[in-house]
This record gives sequence, structure tokens and C-alpha cells, in this order.
Amino acid sequence: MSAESAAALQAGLALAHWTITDLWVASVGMGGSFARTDVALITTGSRDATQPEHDILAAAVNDHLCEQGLDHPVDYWHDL
Amino acid sequence: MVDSPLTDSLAALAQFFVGDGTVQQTLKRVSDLTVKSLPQADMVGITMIVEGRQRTAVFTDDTAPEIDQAQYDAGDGPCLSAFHEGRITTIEATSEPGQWMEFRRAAAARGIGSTLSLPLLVDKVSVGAMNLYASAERAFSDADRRTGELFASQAAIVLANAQAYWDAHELSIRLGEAMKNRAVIEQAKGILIGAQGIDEDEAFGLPVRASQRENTKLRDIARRIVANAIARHHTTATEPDVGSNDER
Repeated sequence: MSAESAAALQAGLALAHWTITDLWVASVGMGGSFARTDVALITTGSRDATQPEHDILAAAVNDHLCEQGLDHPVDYWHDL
Repeated sequence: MVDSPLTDSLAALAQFFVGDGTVQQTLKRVSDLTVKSLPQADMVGITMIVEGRQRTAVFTDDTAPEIDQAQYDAGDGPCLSAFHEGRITTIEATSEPGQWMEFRRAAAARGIGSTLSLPLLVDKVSVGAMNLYASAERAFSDADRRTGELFASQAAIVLANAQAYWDAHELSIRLGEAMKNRAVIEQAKGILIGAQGIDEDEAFGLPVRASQRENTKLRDIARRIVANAIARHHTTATEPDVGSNDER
């Protein structure tokens, strides 16, 4: 599932025009406790995300994209 | 050391405290000093690049950004090469054919005869690049290149420190904002855990699904859960409301 997770998050990053730092900060706001390097590893598929980790990162991007008028384009774990 | 435009400029660089001005203001001061240390340059453009993005740019002349834009549009040019390859690049005469023709044409059309592009290196890592433009062809000698390299090496440290200082400042503000969101999400999770006897991950999943179904931001769902819990407390109800449908 890590490849699908990474691909979904990467697509979200591109859509949001976000850097890894942007995603890391937003994930803190979602209750995440990642190191910034973990976010980099997960989004590149270098480390497997757990379901809660993926969903926190997806929620972080989706909340931002929701403000841009997009309807949750980053799949959550159960939709991958 | 004998006083010279270069030593004067280096001395001025050494006096910088990066917190005195924004990155933009620091870039402007550095670009002004660049022209002082290399008077052959008629104008200077400095670009900071962070996480692959052009972050801050400053120019001593309104024409410089137009010329620089030509290389950003083409994705290639002397300044970008200086940045990516960490080496000095020069165009001796923009009227002559050679590498980066699109950039040469754009520069020549704006009265630029030659250019000198210097990487801004900190610990061998590029943090940006400095473009010097001269109206004369072959304006920059080998000695000028060495002067430029020396100045750029010192300027890079000042600019990297300024960027790091202000990035940290900005990050602290953004994290402060993030913590406000986090608080309400954690409160909502706690309410759901307490009311429904679910674990933390499930307590995050419930509002996630509500936000998807309602096309609403998760933090707004979380605020609603908290508000409803407070309201229910006053009416002695116990079940939190995470949406209009059953989430489980």
C-alpha cells in the first residue's frame, strides 16, 4: 500500500503546490507527530505509512484543497 | 588589507545582522554592495532558491527581472546553470551565438552586452545565484570573476543566514497557527473516545468520513463536535454529533 499512499500524497502536494515543509506543518495541525523527515520519506514511498499516518497527511492536504474549492481529492486509506 | 571597493563591501557584509531586515531587504543591501564591488556591472539580480522553488528575488534595476524571466520561462540560462551546477557562468557577448540563445536574445534586446552569473554556495550547497549584467560586451575580466566569486562566497553566508532566520521565524508563526487547529481536533477526538468508547484512530476516522461526505474541512467538523458537546453538556445529553448520518 505504500506506493499507492505515496502516489496519492505526491499528487496532493502537486495540486496544492506544497513543499514537504508545508505538509509537515499542516500535519501538525491535524494532530500528527511526524518528524519532517518522516513526511519526506512517506511521500516519496521510502517508508511505509500506517493507516493513521496516511490519513493524517491526506486530511492535511484535503483541508487545504477544500479551501480552494476541491472536494477531498487525496484518497484516504480505505479508498486507496 | 588595502582599501578597495571589494574590501569595503566585504566589511559592510560582515556588519550585517540578519534580523535587522527581511530577506528582501537583505538581498537589496547585498545587491547594492555587489554593484559597488564590481562597478562594471550596470545591474544585479539575486535569486534565492529554497526546496527547488524560487523564493525571493531582488534586482537593482527594473529591467533585470525581465531578463531573468527569460531563463525561468525556458528553464535554462546562465543564472540557473550557476545555481544547479554550482559554477560561475559567463556570456562574453550576448550578440554572439552560443549557449542559452533565448536568454541572449532577451538580454541583448534590453541593452545587455555581457553577463556574469555566480552561484551562492554555502558548504558546497547552492542556495541561490547572483546575476551581474553589463551593457558593454566582455565587461568582466578574469580578475572580476575572482572578485565576484570572493564576494559571492561571503554574500551567500549572509543571505543563507537571513533566509534561515526568517524561515524559522515564519515557521514558528505557522506552527503556532497549526497548534490552534490541532487543539480542536484533539478535543474532538477526546469527546468521541469518551462518548463512544473507540480508540484514537477511530476517533480520527469518524470526522474524516464526515468531512468527506459533507465536503467540509476536517477542522470545521471538529469544531462542530466540540460545540455540540458543549451544547449537549448544558442539556445533559451524552452522545456527540459528528454528522447528519450514523458514522459507524
